[in-house]
Amino acid sequence: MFMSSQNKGETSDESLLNRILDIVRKEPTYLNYWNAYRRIKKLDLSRLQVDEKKKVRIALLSSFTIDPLAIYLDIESRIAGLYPEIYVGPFNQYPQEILNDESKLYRFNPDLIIIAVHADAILEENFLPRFPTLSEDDKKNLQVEIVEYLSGLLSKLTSKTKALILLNNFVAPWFSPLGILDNKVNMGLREFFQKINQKLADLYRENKQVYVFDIDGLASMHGKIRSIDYEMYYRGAFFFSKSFLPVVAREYMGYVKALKNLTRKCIVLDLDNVLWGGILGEEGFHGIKLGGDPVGRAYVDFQRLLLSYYNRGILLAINSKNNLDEAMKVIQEHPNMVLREKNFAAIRINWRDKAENMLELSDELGIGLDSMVFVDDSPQERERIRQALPEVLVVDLPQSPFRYCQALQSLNDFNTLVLSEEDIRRGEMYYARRKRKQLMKTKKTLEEFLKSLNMTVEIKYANRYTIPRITSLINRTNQFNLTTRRYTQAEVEEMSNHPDKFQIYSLRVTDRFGDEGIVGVAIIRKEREKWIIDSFLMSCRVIGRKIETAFLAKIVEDAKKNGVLYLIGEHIPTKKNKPASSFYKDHGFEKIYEDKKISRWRLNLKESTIKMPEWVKMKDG
Amino acid sequence: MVNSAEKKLIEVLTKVLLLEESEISDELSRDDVEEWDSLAHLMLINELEETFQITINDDDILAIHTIGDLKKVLKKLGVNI
Repeated sequence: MFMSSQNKGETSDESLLNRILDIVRKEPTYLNYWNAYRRIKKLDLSRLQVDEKKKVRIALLSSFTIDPLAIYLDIESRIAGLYPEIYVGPFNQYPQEILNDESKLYRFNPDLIIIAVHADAILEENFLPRFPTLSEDDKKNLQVEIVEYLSGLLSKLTSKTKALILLNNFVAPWFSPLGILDNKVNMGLREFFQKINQKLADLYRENKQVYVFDIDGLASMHGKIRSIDYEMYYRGAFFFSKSFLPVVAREYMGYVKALKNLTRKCIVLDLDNVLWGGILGEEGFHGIKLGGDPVGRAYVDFQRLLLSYYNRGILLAINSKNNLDEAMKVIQEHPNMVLREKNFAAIRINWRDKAENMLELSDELGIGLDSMVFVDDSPQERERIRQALPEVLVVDLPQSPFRYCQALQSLNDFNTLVLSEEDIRRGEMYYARRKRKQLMKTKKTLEEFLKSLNMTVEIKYANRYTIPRITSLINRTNQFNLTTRRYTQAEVEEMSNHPDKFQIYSLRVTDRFGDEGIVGVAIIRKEREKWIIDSFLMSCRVIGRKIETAFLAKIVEDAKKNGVLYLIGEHIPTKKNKPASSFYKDHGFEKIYEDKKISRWRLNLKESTIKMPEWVKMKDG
Repeated sequence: MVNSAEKKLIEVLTKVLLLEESEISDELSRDDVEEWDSLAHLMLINELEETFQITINDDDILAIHTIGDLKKVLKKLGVNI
């Protein structure tokens, strides 16, 4: 967490900070959060050398007293390993803060802005007494006014800052003066707010910067009556009750974690008393509880919940002490199993230490321990993982299987700010990878294996559907990346809009085990007689299948068609891109330039060409 | 001897106002304690109301200026300190 330091002062600040946080971890009362927040504020933490990636700047703008939320967000961020700075805007001055170019808000330069405005602050004070007398048109006009007011503020805000913005929606009141007739009149009080909330959600659905925060849903979950404490409301304009505060903070933390890439990607599961009731080795195939009775139904529901995570791109894996054959028979054949072999990205069923299994799983899946969640009913196994691998998130699974779903549902660690098609199909891809590895073991040569894969490669010019994925590959790929040049989505769009100067290719691979999606990108800079390969990269999960040769062959083919004489490849070595270092040499390019930073390679298209590997079938895009 | 209600009062005072137990005296006032701002004042009241299951009158809330004032109000409401 901390960079190495020579300064003794840092270590003591660090341990003091941890001691303060330990009190909150042990006894998470509001009093302890308050105390920890104020004590940490008095520490001089400027001496700590903190990784930039772990810093987060959060601004709170509100129409009411929101300081208690700042306390929770500060401490929760620290518990998550972050170093927060929090700015609380002056009471009820959110419009001024947004509209004034020189405001403290903009000088604070936040990464995340939370806007919590209560309806009372926007509506005139006699809105409630007048509501029963308003016509449908009056109500609709008011709704438009409110939405336009907020969206006006937000467009100013988005023009001034790159921060992620969370806009609270409105808590629809549980009370209506119309009583049981609230949904019998043309627009009841609850519907009035629900429709505003719907309009806000629709307005920002496609927006990459603004997220509507569903405080209404959260208050319903908590209980709307319990979510406000009227003593504190009248005395100090507090809107969140003491019991509601941690609930709200936890939900916001879902966004903070997503923003700071503290996202868990894989749930590692025990089998006995996790996916089914009872011990398989003792009760046998027909004795375990899965479906049927109340306990068995709870296990089926837990599997359904896990399957819903799988279908949104969270990997599932098994880490269980069992006999492999017996356990696999249940997974493959038990009539009530919801999860099947294909849903598991990796499997460790053996009698070894579970911490060792975890390390192997992390290695096999190519994801860090800090992306893994461990679910096990045994307190001893949980403690073992906590001790040995503190980066792994260990779920405190309740004793009763009836509560398993709730324990998993309350985690806020699986969030990402965007979800691509590739993310959603991630589980499928890992299963295919496992099957490919098994196939490779049965083939004598690499060539024989590649032929048996029945690969199809689809190479297309970038378009508006593929540009987000292309951008993400450009910015994430380190290993097989010839130049490691990073471009923003706007820059990629700009290049793609100038086909006279640039050509951007995407490459998609499908084989007998499934669709890998887009895994390769090339950017060509066009000059009169030569094409320069500005960027050439492939996701590491397809390296070793000679697909890069097919990709290059296609570029050569296109260049020839356009009467180009030379293809120029560039290579910028980095610490990580060794796998790509002999790429141009291996494909018959000659070196024409080299200095410390870059080398250039040339292929004379009149004299040479690159043959399409025979095991790859090309599909024209 | 410090009884359990007194213990609780001390815990709330030390945690809300960042005080050491030895610093607490009846004379200690809002002017002496940097941390005793208006937010902390409300926090103090709210925590004590919850701890002792009482409701403190809003005029009293405004009148409390020292720890002694606070104790007087608590005693009036039947808290055994």
